[in-house]
Amino acid sequence: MTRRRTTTEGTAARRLLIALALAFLGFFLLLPLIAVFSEALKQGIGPFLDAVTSDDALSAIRLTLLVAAISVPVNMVFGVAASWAITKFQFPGKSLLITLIDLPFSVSPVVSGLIFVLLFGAHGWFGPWLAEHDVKIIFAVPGIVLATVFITFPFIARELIPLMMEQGKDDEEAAISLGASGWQTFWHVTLPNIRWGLLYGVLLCNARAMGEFGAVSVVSGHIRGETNTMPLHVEILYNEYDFVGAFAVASLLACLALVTLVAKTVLEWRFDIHGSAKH
Amino acid sequence: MIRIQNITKRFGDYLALEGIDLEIEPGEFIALLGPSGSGKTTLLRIIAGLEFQDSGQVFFNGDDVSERGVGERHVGFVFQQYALFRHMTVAENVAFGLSVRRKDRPSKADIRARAEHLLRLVQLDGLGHRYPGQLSGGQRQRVALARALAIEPRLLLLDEPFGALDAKVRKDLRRWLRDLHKQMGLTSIFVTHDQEEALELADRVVVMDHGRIDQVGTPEQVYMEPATPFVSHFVGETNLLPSGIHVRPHDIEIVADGGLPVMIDNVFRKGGVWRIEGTIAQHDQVVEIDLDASLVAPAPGETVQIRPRRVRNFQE
Repeated sequence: MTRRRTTTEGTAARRLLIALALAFLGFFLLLPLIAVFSEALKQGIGPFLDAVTSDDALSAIRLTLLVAAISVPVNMVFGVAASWAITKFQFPGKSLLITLIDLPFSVSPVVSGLIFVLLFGAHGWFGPWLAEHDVKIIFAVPGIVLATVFITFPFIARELIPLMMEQGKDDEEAAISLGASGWQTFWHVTLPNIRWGLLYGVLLCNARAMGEFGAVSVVSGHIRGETNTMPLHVEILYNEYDFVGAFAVASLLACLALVTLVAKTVLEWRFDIHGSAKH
Repeated sequence: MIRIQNITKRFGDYLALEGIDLEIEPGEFIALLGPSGSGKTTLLRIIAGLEFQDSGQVFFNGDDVSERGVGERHVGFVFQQYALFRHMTVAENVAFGLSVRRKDRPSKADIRARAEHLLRLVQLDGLGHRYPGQLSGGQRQRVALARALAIEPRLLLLDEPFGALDAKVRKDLRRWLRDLHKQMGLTSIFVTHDQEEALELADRVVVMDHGRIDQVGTPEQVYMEPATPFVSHFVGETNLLPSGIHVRPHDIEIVADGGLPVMIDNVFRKGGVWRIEGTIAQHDQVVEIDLDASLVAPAPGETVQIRPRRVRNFQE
């Protein structure tokens, strides 16, 4: 029995499309990734290790981890709260809130950084008051955290809103009708229902928090050993023609990207299994 | 006793319920019957405390519970899609209401024993370790019921309890639920759009349309003595004959002469009767007739004379 194809141009077109996609991915993703690692290891493992264990590099790594450790939990709380409010309640200004959550996606990161300079910088709105009380935000760690939180807050909320919208509020109503408190309902019913989506959002949020350059660059001040995150450190080294150092630190960020990718794939797989088993 | 007094509810401009009054005796099995948009589910949710009326009151045994939320009303609610907690086992689902108690929480052993007892009651013993995703629709329905009963509610509310099931399971579960109600005597209210379901299960049927109650009565009453044209059409089948006469298909007989001439369009076997579809000649109006299957049915194309045996007139 011969089966007729619905599209006769199938084979040729399909091969062309696949080749095109692969070539594109190879050129824009695989090639740079290889370049990063080969440049980093050009002079052997010794200089590579020296570059990633120098004081400035270690301080940049520490700062990047600190920033992620603050901004990811903050956005987790904000993301869950915002999605909960949007999907389970009716209130005026709801669509405005959804639009606002997307704001960091639609604004250039440099502008996001500038907003905080305008607010907290020496000549900013709160600048004089902050100077008076000896609080440093811009060109200091708090500014970097603020900018990162701002840049990364859509990730978790964006992930949860459609998920919670689809799940509806029957489960919560059932829990409440059985006598559970709001907190018990959240902890025993809502959170387990959204856990994979939440983890996924946290993963993306974390990747961006560690990798953010534009907004952080504006508020950081680039003080070595103090306000340099890893991406900023890479730029400084590169500008100083320390290519091995720059690519060595960059390769750490690339590793983070790869780990994120793998974790994301695993999560998507779990997510899927879970999604099909519901109700 | 449940007393609902002058309940009105709007969603924006839409009037969902208007001036609803209803009294329910202890132990009664009540059906809220109506088409979609009739307000039946809204009324059920207001009785549960999942939704709040704009005006009017709800009393449980003389207690005004109008302002209390569902958590304080002590009612069992079975959701249309069951709303089982899918990451918990069946036993954990059933035990949920007991294990979240903040005061007088039974011991772990007591909770487990109680869950097992309830699973036996709904004939799911041995399935406690499974997850809801591993059960059939009818089994999930019974888990939802057991979970609602675990808190020993004073009132059981069911939203379209059989809506998501296929016909055979629906019928079995219906009979089973009726027996369970008889056995427990728990005051119960269920919502349905299926008149057969309402007539078969309920002690009394509340027929609703457009946010109002058209009639409250026993299945016998709403079927035999419909209070409005809507009830007559919604509960059972009704022909509207010329001059505003309402008559059921089985209340029509074919006579030799002196009746209303009807042209036969179609005849088919419907269970134990012939279902005859015809057109009233002068009025171009469709009429359905059920004829005892032991009689000889007229053939399509023939013209016969019909006479209603039992009619209802409504003052419009």
